[in-house]
Amino acid sequence: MADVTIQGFQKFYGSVEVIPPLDLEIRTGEFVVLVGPSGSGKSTLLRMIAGLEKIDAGTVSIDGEDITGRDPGDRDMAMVFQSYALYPHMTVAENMTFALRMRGTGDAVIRERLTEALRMLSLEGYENRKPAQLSGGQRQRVAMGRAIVRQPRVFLFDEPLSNLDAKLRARTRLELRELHDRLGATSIFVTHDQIEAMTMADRIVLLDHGRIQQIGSPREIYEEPRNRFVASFIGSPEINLLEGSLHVDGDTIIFNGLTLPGRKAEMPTGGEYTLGIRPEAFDVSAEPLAGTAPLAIRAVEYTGSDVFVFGTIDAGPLTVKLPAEGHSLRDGIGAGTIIHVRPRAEGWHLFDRSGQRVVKT
Amino acid sequence: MTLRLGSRILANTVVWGYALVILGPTLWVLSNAFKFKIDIITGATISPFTWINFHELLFSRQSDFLTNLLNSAVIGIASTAIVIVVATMAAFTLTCLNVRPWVRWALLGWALLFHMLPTLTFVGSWYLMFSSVGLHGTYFAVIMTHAVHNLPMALFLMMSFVGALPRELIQAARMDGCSYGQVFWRIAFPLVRGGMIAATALTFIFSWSDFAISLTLTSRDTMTVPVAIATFAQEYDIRYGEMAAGTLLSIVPALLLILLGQNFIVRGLLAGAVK
Repeated sequence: MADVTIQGFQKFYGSVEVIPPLDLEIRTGEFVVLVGPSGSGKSTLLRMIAGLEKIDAGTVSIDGEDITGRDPGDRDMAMVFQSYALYPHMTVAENMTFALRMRGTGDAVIRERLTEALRMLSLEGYENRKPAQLSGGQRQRVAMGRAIVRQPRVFLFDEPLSNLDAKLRARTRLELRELHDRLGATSIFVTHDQIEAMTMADRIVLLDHGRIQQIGSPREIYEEPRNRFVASFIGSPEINLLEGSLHVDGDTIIFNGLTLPGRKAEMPTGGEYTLGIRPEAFDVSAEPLAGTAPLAIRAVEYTGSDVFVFGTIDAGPLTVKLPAEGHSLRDGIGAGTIIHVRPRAEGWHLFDRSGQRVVKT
Repeated sequence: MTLRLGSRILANTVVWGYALVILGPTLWVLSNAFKFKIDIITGATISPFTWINFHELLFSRQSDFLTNLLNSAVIGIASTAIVIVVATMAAFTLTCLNVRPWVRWALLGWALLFHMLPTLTFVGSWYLMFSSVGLHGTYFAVIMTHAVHNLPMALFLMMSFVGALPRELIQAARMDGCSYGQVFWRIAFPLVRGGMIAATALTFIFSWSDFAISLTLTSRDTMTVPVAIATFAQEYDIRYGEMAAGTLLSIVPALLLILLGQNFIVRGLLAGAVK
């Protein structure tokens, strides 16, 4: 059991409020990812939970037990740092067992947990090496091992994958998630990488300027962004955001000359809005059909599995992802050609001037 | 090509010229250690070899040089030990703990200012202070004064070493259950040993070669080597041979420490310069 409850967390640097009052509830065994751009306060929030950063107001508790005033070492939390922070003068085994030795755990227990962690992380045979004699991936695993042997109630991860190359990062992502499922401990993971957030999280907490923008499952965050910031932060390539005016005439919805299918229940009748459409939420054809708009192609990006088309319609610039393999349009398009696009009925969002979503898909 | 050759000749001339300026007088003094007094006074370059100066220096009744060497060693070792322990702990406190910035800058600013002022500015006051409490001429007076005098330099050197420790390393140790004291002994201390060796070498050499403080605060019983060497220049007789022999003997420990510590000293001065 390790429910983590944060109430009224607040942090100032001088007179600047970096974390406005913030509440967050993390349930036992959950893998929660704090994600946001640089300066969003995600690392600060994690360090406040860990006890490494002073809390100016608010409390943090585990299973109802207030641990706000406790030393970082007395919170039963283990942290994996971005730089791994391995002790350079200690061997792998000494690094991994340091915390246990500090709290006077018996030798037999230490040996047992070390052996188990080394096996789990495929580090057998490396226990007598110093960190300098290891590769980046191995160091990362030692840092993980150092957290695992403690069997803490809560794991804290501060961008632990960002120093790995892309291939290794993808593999470690999966291993980390599997490890979490096996250990069943509560995990709080900080990253600025939306792919990491989407692929690993049970729930994502999206932060900007210290404020929670949205909490939800990866699917909720992607498909039902609560505001413009969430919509544009999650998704690659970015969601298309078009500024313009909306006209609703009976069942016909026109946005800057673009016809939007699918009448929504809470539809406003008109006004200035931002239209958000994900690149994959378009029907595409070579010939004009009912409700399509001509897209003048500026560039085409081929990534192997996907083809992204960058161009302009009358309503503004658009990025469109072409449908799956085998679509007739995948060949024969290029800069200067024209295709016809139509937003899908369930694929668009409307945000008001303050950035809040007004129409649900 | 000509230009490169020319600049190489120029560079070599400057380097060798500089070395000559330093080494020339040193070699001249050292060669005097093995000459008879008459040869030194007449300025003979080639002269008979003798150990007489060393014999006089170490074993004659007029000389306390062995005691002086012992005094220098006691004062040097004790003051260096104090300086290194205090400087390392202070550097750790100032860099790794949550010290208010104004406290940090006030302390370092004072240390820098203190280090910039000439030693002679202070020796008069120190003499009066120690005399008034009856401590003049004791080891305690010289050791404490050397410690105070050398602390700023060691502190700045240790700050660069301790400051180069990654912050996350200290945080990781805190997460692993270390108190700040344990972080210091188990993590910071082993990792800044190189810096401590560099600071030890420099501090010991400064203490060993100090003249102004030792001259003012020592008595006959606690006199250090540099002061003793100076006493060989008397009103009617300058004992050049013993002076040279004393100088030669006093250089040895400093030379050994420099050889031991030079790699660490360079590393310390460059710490943080490159990633």
